[in-house]
Amino acid sequence: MLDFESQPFVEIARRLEMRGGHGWIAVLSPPSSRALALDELQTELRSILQVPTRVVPLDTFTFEGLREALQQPNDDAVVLSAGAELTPEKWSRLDIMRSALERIGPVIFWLAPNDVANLTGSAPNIRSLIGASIFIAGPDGGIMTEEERRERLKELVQYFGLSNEEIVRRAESKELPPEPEFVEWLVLLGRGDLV
Amino acid sequence: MQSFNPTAPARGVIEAGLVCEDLHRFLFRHLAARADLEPGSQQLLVGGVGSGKTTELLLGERWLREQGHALPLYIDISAETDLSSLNSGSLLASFGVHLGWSVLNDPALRPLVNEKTEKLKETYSKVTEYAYGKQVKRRVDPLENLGVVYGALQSHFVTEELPGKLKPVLARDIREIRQPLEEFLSVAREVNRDVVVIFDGLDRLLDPTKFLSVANQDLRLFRELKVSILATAPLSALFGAEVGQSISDHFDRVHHLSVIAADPRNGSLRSVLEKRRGSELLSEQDADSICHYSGGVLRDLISLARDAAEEAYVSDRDSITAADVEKVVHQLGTGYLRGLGPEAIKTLLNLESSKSFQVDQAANVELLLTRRVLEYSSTDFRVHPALLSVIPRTEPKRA
Amino acid sequence: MTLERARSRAETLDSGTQKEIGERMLAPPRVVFSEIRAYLYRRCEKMRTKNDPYDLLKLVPESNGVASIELGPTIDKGPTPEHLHFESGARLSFGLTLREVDRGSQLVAFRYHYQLPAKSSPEYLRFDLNEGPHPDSLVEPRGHLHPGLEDVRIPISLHDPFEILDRIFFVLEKRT
Repeated sequence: MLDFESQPFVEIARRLEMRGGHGWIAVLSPPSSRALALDELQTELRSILQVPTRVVPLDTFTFEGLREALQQPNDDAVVLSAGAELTPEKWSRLDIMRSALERIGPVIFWLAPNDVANLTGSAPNIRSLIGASIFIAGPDGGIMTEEERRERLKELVQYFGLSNEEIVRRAESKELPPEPEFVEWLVLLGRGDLV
Repeated sequence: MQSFNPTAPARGVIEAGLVCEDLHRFLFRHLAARADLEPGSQQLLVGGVGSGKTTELLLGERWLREQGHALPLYIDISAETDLSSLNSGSLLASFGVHLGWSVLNDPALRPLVNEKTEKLKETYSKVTEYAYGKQVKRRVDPLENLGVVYGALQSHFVTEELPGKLKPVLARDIREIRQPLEEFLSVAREVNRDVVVIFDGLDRLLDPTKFLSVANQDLRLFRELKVSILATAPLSALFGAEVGQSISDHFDRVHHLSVIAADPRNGSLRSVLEKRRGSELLSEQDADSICHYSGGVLRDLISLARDAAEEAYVSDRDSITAADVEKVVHQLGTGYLRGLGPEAIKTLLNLESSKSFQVDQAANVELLLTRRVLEYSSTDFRVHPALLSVIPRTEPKRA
Repeated sequence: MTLERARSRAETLDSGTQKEIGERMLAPPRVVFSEIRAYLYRRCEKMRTKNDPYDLLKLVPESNGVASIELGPTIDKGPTPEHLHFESGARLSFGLTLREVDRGSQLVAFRYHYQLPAKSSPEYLRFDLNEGPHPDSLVEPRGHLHPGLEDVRIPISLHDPFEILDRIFFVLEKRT
């Protein structure tokens, strides 16, 4: 099936930054670890946009409550979190109040993976503002890969002339020097417990 | 790239000089002129999502101000109250608040206002109470509480909140607001300023039944007060069921803001891009491609241009390529495709091949409202080109 | 002014560093990673040399509550594409290790190796924070600066990761 582009959160935040810190974007959450992913999204939004970031759940919104939430303040980043409980009727109500949601700061819709159908079908005014900016939450390219990890370990073994096992043995017997290179070595080996 | 912001408030875009005022052949002037010349007239502006209705209305507002004969009031009612539970009196309430505020603060009216400041402030207070409700203290007689054991034997007061029209709960008598409105209107008319109210946001009521049930009573009073109205309405007011026809019957004039075809001879869509200095971002070919795939939906046009530029920037390139355009068109099309069942896809493919589209069918009206189908006139319907580029085909496309 | 007194002062300094580390709370490792990346992104935008912080900066995720943030090789043996390259001809590589504590993290160790342009003197500056005290705090203070010499370690006060980057981007680079 055709799908949207996958983007890591840092790129999503960068796109909003390119837009001058304004705009509407929809992000499709991963099927599992949704809460953790939402945390990571907020972290990247805060870091890149340099504004506070809030999550506003949409499951039990009222017109007055949501309008106030988005307008006071109106210049931070707001993540509107929608889950499966948001029925087409609720999407429709949200769509009707689109003008009340418009603000200076960016609006990020955090959607369940299959929620785009509701967005397009029941909230065409909101979808229109989002346009083509619908992205699947992608993996963060900043996590060191297995290959990168092996390369670094190889570099350390070659430079110091010590094997990984020897490093672990010395750390266990408290003989390892305290220099930062050896700390990183242990972390690369997954032995943070010896730090 | 900042000039390509599809979420920028229309007012700011107009003030920045980024709007092609002749895009719809100066429709805003026709709307505004009629509203000015025929006090009490009621006109509807009907168009699909992203067609430029708000821009056209704001241009009308500006034109009216420049002419100096009228006091135009632009109100996005959908930002002021929950339209999904709109009741009669809401439009009047909102109008009253805006009118009162304008009259009390308009420099041209200051001498008149100064003569009757206290009276007008009291009137404004009545209007805001009507709109937002008030707290009243009500005396409770202990006899009222028979059957319930209370310690108090004396009467006491309770504070109750009486709801207003813009925090809708109960329907109240529209006639309550008439007199305060007449007072403000008479001040404006003393300096020969008729009032034109521009209601935006009513097009969000995709279900025309709701629109009619609320607007009916309010609109009658506006006419009696000789206040001209320009209002937006959804496409279902023009196409589809009988209720839509009833809406049109209530208005003196219904203007359709149709989608603009990406016709190279016409050049209108290209001019929209040029006005925002699109040639600095896009090659001729890519600009044409974006015009085509937007289908003529103005907001899609702007956002495709912006998104293509963004793709280039994110990929660390200095200029947009055809691949960037293709990517964002694919994204837009995929969004439109989501949620379409086999029957709807069949309808769309049929429309593409045979140009046949039964606009009176509810399912088809929905395709119009959600912009999967675009209306270039009352008889010319086409599938949104971005959607067409991703729609699954079970049979080979005919040449 | 005896050697013993000097060592005693050095040990007091190290104790102070240890205390400061315990009192200084940073954000969780992933948040620090995100913030450093955003910082570098902003700085790199202003530079004529092309560096992609999204490619360069790496997080080694938590292993028993300890994570590392790394950019460039662990040992500088010459320029590589993994370094952050400055317009002056200088290059930067660094590693920062954090331990998760409560809802934040604390510094465990860091190294910021700033290799100055060719023919500079000193050749490099390296800001190090060791994981613990050295048996001889006078020779190797826990927090120290190598002014182009491996055997010379000048004590430095404890620094937030951004403070060192600030000195590199806004002071050292402006000077070269």
